[in-house]
Formats: sequence, structure tokens, C-alpha cells
Amino acid sequence: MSHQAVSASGTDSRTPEDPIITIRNASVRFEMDKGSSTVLNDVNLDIYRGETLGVVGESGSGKSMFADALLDAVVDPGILTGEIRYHPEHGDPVDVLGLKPWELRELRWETISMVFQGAMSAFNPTMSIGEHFEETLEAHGWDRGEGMERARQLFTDLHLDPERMLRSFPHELSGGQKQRALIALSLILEPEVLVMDEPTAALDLLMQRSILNLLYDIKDKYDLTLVFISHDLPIISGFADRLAVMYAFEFAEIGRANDVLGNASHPYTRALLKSTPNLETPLSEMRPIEGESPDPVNHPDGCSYHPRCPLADERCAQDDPAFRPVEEGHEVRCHYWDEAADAVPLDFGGDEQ
Amino acid sequence: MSSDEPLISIEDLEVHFEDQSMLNAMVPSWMGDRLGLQEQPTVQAVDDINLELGENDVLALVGESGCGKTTLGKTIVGLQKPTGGAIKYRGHDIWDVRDGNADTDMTFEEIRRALQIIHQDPGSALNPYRSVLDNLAVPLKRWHPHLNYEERRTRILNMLKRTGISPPEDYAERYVHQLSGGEQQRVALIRALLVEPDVILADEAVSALDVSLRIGVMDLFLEMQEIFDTSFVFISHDLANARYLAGKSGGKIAVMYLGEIVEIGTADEIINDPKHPYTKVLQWATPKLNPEQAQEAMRESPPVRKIDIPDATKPPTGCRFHTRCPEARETCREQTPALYEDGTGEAYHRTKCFRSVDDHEYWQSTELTDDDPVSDETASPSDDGSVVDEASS
Ligand SMILES: Nc1ncnc2c1ncn2[C@@H]1O[C@H](COP(=O)(O)OP(=O)(O)OP(=O)(O)O)[C@@H](O)[C@H]1O
Ligand SMILES: Nc1ncnc2c1ncn2[C@@H]1O[C@H](COP(=O)(O)OP(=O)(O)OP(=O)(O)O)[C@@H](O)[C@H]1O
Ligand code: SF4
Ligand code: SF4
Ligand SMILES: [Mg+2]
Ligand SMILES: [Mg+2]
Repeated sequence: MSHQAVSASGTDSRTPEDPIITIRNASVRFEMDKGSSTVLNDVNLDIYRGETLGVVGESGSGKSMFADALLDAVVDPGILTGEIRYHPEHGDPVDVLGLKPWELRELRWETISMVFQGAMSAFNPTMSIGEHFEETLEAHGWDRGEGMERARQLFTDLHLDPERMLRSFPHELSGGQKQRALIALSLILEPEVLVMDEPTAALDLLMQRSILNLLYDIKDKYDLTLVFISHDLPIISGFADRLAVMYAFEFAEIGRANDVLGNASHPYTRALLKSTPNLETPLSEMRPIEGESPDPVNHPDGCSYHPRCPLADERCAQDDPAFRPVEEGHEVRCHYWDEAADAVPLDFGGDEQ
Repeated sequence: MSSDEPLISIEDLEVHFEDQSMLNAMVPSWMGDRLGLQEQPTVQAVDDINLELGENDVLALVGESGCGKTTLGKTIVGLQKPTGGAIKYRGHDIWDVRDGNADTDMTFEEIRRALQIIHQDPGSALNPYRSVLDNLAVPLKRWHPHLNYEERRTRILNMLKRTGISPPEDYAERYVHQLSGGEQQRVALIRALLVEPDVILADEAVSALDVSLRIGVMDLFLEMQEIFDTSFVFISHDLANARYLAGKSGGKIAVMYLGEIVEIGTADEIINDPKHPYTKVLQWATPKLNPEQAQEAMRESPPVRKIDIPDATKPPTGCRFHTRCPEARETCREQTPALYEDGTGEAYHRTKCFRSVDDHEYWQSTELTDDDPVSDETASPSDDGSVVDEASS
């Protein structure tokens, strides 16, 4: 299957970058009593080597399904279809969905590593942090001495005292320490891509911000591509190179972080920004997004945002918009994106482009 | 009930965790030895707190992880017994009532119902292998036994709809484990609301929700407050949420640091006129929406001398913030500031910092800097982050 053919759906306008993972027509379905539930709907995206990609969207929009799909880790009885390819720097692309179980297990730790949502509770309470590292190294047949040396280095880079950490039991650590230990563990087998699903959501803002700073610092040292998934748009706004906004199980807007925030062109992105509590916007200006996000069993016809969109008309109710370029590297799936700024005015201090 | 009694009053409250007895009781002794539990010193989780909460009131507690928000919150709703001071519900000492030492016909059961909690982790309050409807029927059956199945169902569907879970009929039949994280959080919120309590302690219940739902849920809190006069103790590490809820309800924000309230005031006072240097740190940590400001803030280092919070078992002498405070002077290490009232007009504003006292000797004392021995004196070697902080000293 050539993915050149499918990439016409939206990758053309992007600068030709070097993709490390390509996702084509990825869908996840659950067969439920009341019918088929599509929780990831025909998603296409390129993840560039070395970038930090932020994936944002509201609860239930399919962010975790997207993350799980990258590693063919969708829970049963979910059915993942489409094509996920990993492109090594040298050599042929790897068809992730075609891998044998043991190959997949290797890929999951040694190539594309993942910090799953809520994974902080995944530490075994009866095992020390050090034992977790040893177990992982052994299970994958890695040299223990070298591996533990790397663990110590990772701790130091994450501003943790290595000896103390290795001795500690999970309950002895603060949330921020546990999360950093988990990040270190997910990097122990030298992956190229680190996918983090809401990794800092349970931490206080100061700690979230410190962890982002640390990730920012170690990213180049460990030659990492980062995929950072969060419902918290402002948290990643200063951190991600690119942002992909998810709505109703698909992407609505993709672009450089500055453009997606400063020149938000999808009515949903703008509504999302307007609904975000912050310290600058007057209280009376903040608004929840009207209406409800769609039921995965009954996707609306046409644009999936049309039941909530102030700009929606007949056309929106019938035709599902394709991605359109707004500017270089910035595309949006909306028929009337150039009217979005007037329809949903935003004011969060500073100039809009 | 006489209305001049505050709903909740707190006097000189102190919660210290002695020798980790909880952990010792939970963990077998061989493991306790291995973990060195016996050696753990006292954690001064909450100290010297005086507060009142009225009907229809909002108190937002903000501060870093480990500063004592949950401990104070749990003490307010009777889930944590204080080690000093008193906590009263409508004038009755909660723990005297529980121990049968109070001269009243009020029962502990009554108090427990009046004071509800929504946890940070929604899963902990819900059974993942039962349907949403079954889960939500539990509090209704317990507290409203006269309701029949249909009435319960109607109330539950109504609440699902109001919290944006749609279509409610479908979701009601789902198992909790089939919901996304945010959906579970809303179900946990509904579970507490269905009891119609006097006070709801919402422990990070909103920060765990995705951004686009926070205002909606806080509006729901405000709506519930209007209908049922529910008061909220609202815990959030996010000043922006505290600003919204306290601002819209006319409530107060209390900023906590290492077990103490260091600044308290109306939302407007705390957000637009923060006085305590620590409150300014929290303000720095609150993300900006403006992309240039956001990126700039990413590169900036925080307005503290040290990034990590000191060990709660060894709170610094004097002002507990002096090891990190950019404004700290000698006086701050030696003397403990009181919660000084803002003398101007009707302001409620109080700040636990010498800088609030114009003629305090603080102003004449010498500045503390990082190469000052103080950094080593109070930072314990096991402090998180000590690698960075001490490498240079
Ligand atoms: N095991 C499951 N079976 C059926 N549907 C599911 C299952 N897990 C999740 N879903 C549904 O799939 C959709 C997408 O869920 P997903 O977990 O990807 O959302 P999310 O964007 O990660 O949300 P959150 O921010 O709350 O984590 C939601 O509608 C959710 O209800
Ligand atoms: N049962 C306990 N036994 C011993 N120490 C405890 C116990 N509960 C809390 N502590 C300690 O008391 C201090 C305050 O903890 P608390 O949970 O109240 O903080 P918090 O502000 O709610 O933090 P977070 O934002 O992480 O939830 C911490 O140092 C914590 O480790
Ligand atoms: S396509 Fe139509 S309904 Fe969809 S976001 Fe654009 S204007 Fe709104
Ligand atoms: S009393 Fe001193 S150390 Fe404490 S907050 Fe004020 S200036 Fe900082
Ligand atoms: Mg998720
Ligand atoms: Mg807490």
C-alpha cells in the first residue's frame, strides 16, 4: 500500500519534513450493543523526526485512542484499522500493525516508548524503583550494568538523586518524583520516540512546568521525538513545536504552535481558547463551549463540529470539510476558516496576527 | 439552627503526622524495617489555621503539591482528625460528636452526610465494573431511600445531562471503565452532588477535567450553590480555576505553603494585588494563552531561589518560605511573620509576610542570598532536586 496516494488528504501543504511515524486512515471501532462506536475516525498525520508534537482536545475526543493506535495498543475489543508506519533513519519503513507480538513488544520499548495515561499507579508497590528498572532490562535481554548506569544518568538529568531513587519504593515518592521516575523508565531502552499521554495531568502547575523544562532540556541529548498528549492547551503552548487539535475523534487543526494559538482558524480551536480559565481574560468573557461533543456511535453528517458551531450552515451539515492550508505548515478542516476570527473573537492580551 | 453559627469554624488547627503510624499499620513490619519507616519524623502537614466557612460560601485552597491542601480539606469535612485545635460544624466539635462527648443530639452520621468529598482520582469513588447508573444509585439509595427506581433514574439522567454527558441514557448503561478519564470525573462529581450536602470538598476535581469543561463544571458548582446553598472547599493547584470559582461566587482564595496559610483574600485581591512573594510564584506558574508570552515563560526561571519545596518534616525556621523567597532577609530566618491584616478599608486581605508591615525591622535587615549558608542549613540532603541545588554550593 502506498501512502503517497492517501497523503493527498492533507499533507501536501506542509513543509517536506522527515517523518518518523506516518499515520494513514487510522480508525478505531468498538462494537457495542447499540451499534458500532467509532472513537478514532480516519486520522492522517505525520510525526516529524526530532519534533515535539502536542496533541490537544477535550475529554473523550480520542486522544488516548490516537496514542494507543501509534503502538497498536488499543484495548480489546477495539478494532484498529489503517496504516501506522515507523520510518527508521536508515532502512525500510516498518508496518506497525503487521508486526508479530514479540516484534511489537520490542518496538514498544526500544523504538516508540509510551507513558500511558494514569500510568503513575502502574508501579508495583512492593518493588523498589531500582527493581522496576532491573526487571525491564532483564525482560528485554539488555545488559544490566550498562542499563543501570543509564538509569542513573537519566535520574540525574531529571534532577533526581539516583541512589536515593533506586532504593525508594513508589509510595515514598512525591507525584512529581514518581512521574519523572516513570519517564526515566520509559527511556531506559533508548527509544527514539516518547509518547506521553497526559503525563503531568495529576501534578501541580509548578511541577508540570518544571518537568516540561526538563523534557525540553533532555530531548536533544537523548535524540528524542516527543508526542505530548494533553487536554490542557495552555500547559503545552510554550512547549510544543507543533499542535494538533482533536475534535470528535479526528484532527481539526494542525500547525506550528504559534500559528495555531496566535492565528487559530478553526471555530473549535477558538472556542477552546475562550473556554480556558486563565488569569488575564475578564471572568465574564470566559465561556464554556456550547453543546456537547458528539456520540461516537452517531457521528454528525458533514462537519462533526456543525451542531455546535456558530458559523455552521447547510453546507457544513452535509459536506465534511477537507484540510485547507491557512499558511505554511498550518492547515484547518473548516469550510469557513477565514471567517472564524470574526465569529469567535478572542482576547488574551497581546497581538493577534 | 441559629444562623449566626458559621457552618464550619476552625480554630488554631494543627494536623501533625507523628511516626507514620498509618503506614506502619498498613505495611508488615519486615517491610517497614526495610523501608525504614520507624525513622520517619513528624510531618507538620497543617499548622496554625483559623478559618470560617459560611453557608453558600466558597473557599479555594491553592498551593504546591504537599503543602497541606488535602489534609486541611479532609479535616474540614471530618475525614481527618486534627492533632491540635478544633473543627466545628454548626458550633459542634465534630470529633466530640463522634466520640459521644458532645452535649447535642446531632449525630456523626448527620455530619458525615453534610460534608461530602470529591476525590482527585475519580476511580477511587466508583466501581469500575458496575454501570454508571448503578454507581450513582448508591448515594441516592443511602440518603433518599424513599425514591423508587424511576425517580432515581430520572435524577441521575438529569445530572448526567447537566454535566454535559450525552446522550445520558446511553452513558447511564455503560460501565465506568468504558468512560474516558474526564467522563469518570464528572460521574464522581454527580455522585457527591446527589447527596445534597452542606459542604463539598472538591479536591482537584476541576483541574483533573479537561480545560474546555472546567468552566462548565465550575458553573455547575455555582448553580448547585444557588439551588441548595452548598458551600465549596475547592482545592486546586491552578490559580486560574480558583480565580474563576472564588471570583464568581464572591468567595475567598487561601494560598498555602508548607502547611500554613500565607495569604488569604478575595479573588480580586489575590489575583490582581498579590502581596506574598509565594503567591507571585504561583502566578508565574499559571500558563499564559498568548503564544509569545507562553514561550517566553517557558524559558524564564521561576521567581524562587530554589525550585523544590523543603522537606515537610523539617520546615525552615522563621518564615517557612525564607529558603526559597527572593525577598528573604535575615529577619525572615529568625522571626515568624503573623497573618497581617491589610489595613485599608473593607479589605479582607491578609498576608503572612513582613513586607506587609511598613515599619518592620525586616526592612533594615540584610538580604539572604543563595551563597548564604542558609541554603545548606535547611535543605535536607534527601530533598527532591538536591542534585541541582547543591551541586553548585
Ligand atoms: N473500552 C472502551 N470501550 C468503548 N468505548 C471506549 C472505551 N474506552 C474509551 N472509549 C470511548 O472512546 C472515546 C475516546 O476515548 P479516549 O480515551 O481516546 O478519549 P481522550 O481524548 O483520551 O479523553 P480524556 O482526555 O478524558 O483521557 C470516548 O468517547 C470514550 O467514551
Ligand atoms: N497519612 C499521612 N501520613 C504521613 N504524612 C502524610 C499523610 N498524609 C499527608 N502527609 C504529608 O503531609 C503533607 C501534606 O500533604 P497533603 O496531601 O495535605 O498535601 P496537598 O497540598 O494536598 O498535596 P497534593 O497537591 O500533592 O495533593 C505532605 O508532606 C504529605 O506527605
Ligand atoms: S466547516 Fe462549518 S461547521 Fe465545521 S467548523 Fe467550519 S464553519 Fe463550523
Ligand atoms: S517574610 Fe521574608 S521570607 Fe517570608 S515571604 Fe516575606 S520576605 Fe519572604
Ligand atoms: Mg485520554
Ligand atoms: Mg492533595
